[in-house]
Amino acid sequence: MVTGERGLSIRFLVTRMKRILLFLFFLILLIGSQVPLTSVRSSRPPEARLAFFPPAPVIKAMSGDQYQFLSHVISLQCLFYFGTLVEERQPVKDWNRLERALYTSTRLDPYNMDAYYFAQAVLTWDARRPRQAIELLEYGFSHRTWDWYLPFFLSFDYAFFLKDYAKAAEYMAKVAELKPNVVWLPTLAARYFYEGGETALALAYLKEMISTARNGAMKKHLEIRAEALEKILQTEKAIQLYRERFHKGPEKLEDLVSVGIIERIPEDPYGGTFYLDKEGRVRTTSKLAFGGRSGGAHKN
Amino acid sequence: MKRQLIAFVTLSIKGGIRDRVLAAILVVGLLLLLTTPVVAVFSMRQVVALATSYSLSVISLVGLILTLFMAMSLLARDLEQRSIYTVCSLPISRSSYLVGKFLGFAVVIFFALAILGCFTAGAIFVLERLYPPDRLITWDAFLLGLWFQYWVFLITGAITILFSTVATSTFLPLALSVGIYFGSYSTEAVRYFVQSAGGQERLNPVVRLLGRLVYWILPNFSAFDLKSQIIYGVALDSKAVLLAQLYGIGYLGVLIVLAMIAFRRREFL
Repeated sequence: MVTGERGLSIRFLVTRMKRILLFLFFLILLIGSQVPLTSVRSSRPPEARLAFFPPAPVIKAMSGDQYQFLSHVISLQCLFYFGTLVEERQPVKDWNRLERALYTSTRLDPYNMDAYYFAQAVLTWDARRPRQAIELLEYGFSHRTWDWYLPFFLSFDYAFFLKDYAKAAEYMAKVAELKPNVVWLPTLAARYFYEGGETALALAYLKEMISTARNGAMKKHLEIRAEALEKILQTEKAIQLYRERFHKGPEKLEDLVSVGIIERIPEDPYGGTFYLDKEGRVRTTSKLAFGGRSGGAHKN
Repeated sequence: MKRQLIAFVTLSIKGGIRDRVLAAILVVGLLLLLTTPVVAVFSMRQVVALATSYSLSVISLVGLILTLFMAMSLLARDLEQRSIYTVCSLPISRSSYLVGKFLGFAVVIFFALAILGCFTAGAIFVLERLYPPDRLITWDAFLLGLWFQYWVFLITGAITILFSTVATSTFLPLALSVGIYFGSYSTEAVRYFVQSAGGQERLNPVVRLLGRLVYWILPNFSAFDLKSQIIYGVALDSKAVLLAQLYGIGYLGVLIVLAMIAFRRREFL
């Protein structure tokens, strides 16, 4: 009887030990795989971090009434992906995927302002695809008819990138209609249509974008661009001074340093080098993007 | 008759309140709604819009799960526990049993939606003060949107109950209801495509006819979707709202009558 009881308790202990050992085995497997898995996932190329999204009609058909939130999820994914690249100072390698994601996002929710803001901030300068950005923004403005930001962006894009001043004026008139009390608007409009100072115009526009930017990565991205433009503007002013003094333009930027107008050639925050092109305009080898990659439609 | 109906409504409500699975789903929904500010601050330009979109998505998803679970177990539980035989042996009409059960379900879903709605309204109210948007949320659109969301759940619940009255398994009504729920947000788009020049060109007449048939048979849940009006303050079309409400009443009525007929004819072995 006693032997039987002892046998039972031994069997109970063995079963218990087996369970503990099994638990420990799986726990070690979990921790042992999670650590290398994390490092493998983190070392993926940045392009792999932006998922492939099916076309908007497919998402809409599969998601019931969740499509609006999914539109936000897609635009946030674009922001996170781009934010990581800004932090790591890396260029975007697959603009097509990013552009497609933004297109899908706006087709799912045509009112999603985050997608339009992102398209304006990134597709125009970085991807050098102002026409595609304009297409998205015009689609957005056909829905967000009350929002003065969209015609403001469109006006800038038409004036700065496409040199279509008639269209720019058309959209600026819409901004004035929707937001009649904006103090800085007449100044900006004057620069658009009379002064023609492109760098000053771009700076004024960027400062407005920065003042309302909420996302840290996006703000940083815009500030770097503003810093670069500020340096270009300073150099342009120095060239103007050189012209006034010597009645001709400098052949290279180093001439400005040798005559003492500037102490040194400013540093491009994108890691490039400023230089003078054949027309005597200030350019940079970075093309105002990390990695200096051209997206196609527009140059510097 | 009236007393019997009230008794079944009360029974159904009590069943819903006591159900721990339903309570757990509701708690998960409330916990998800608590994360609204965390999700919303990621937005670049529209914190309140993202918060509203996220919370409405949570309400819709949690409400759907609650609806399906409750509607599925409404008849199935009585069949499983064999209490349906007792009910059938009493001098009570099967219709009042079914209608009473459905009304109880409607009351429980209403209160669940009201709780989720209050949480959402509170979160939006606070976020609106912290991050003032260009356009404030219109609360009448918000209430109307929640009301229409409620009608979507009522119709989905009635579909599940209708299938439960004829099906012998509990899984089939659930699977069919889920399919119909998701499909019903696309019927309008399917109809537009079938009628468009592209649709006329690309689709053969049989597919076009099927597309039209699907639109007329399945509920059109797009008509009840007022999310753009709530989130972005897009103007409400009062005519469309009124017609959608009448359409909802009509559709629900047809479903309940069909379920009553099917339930009356059902033989319990």
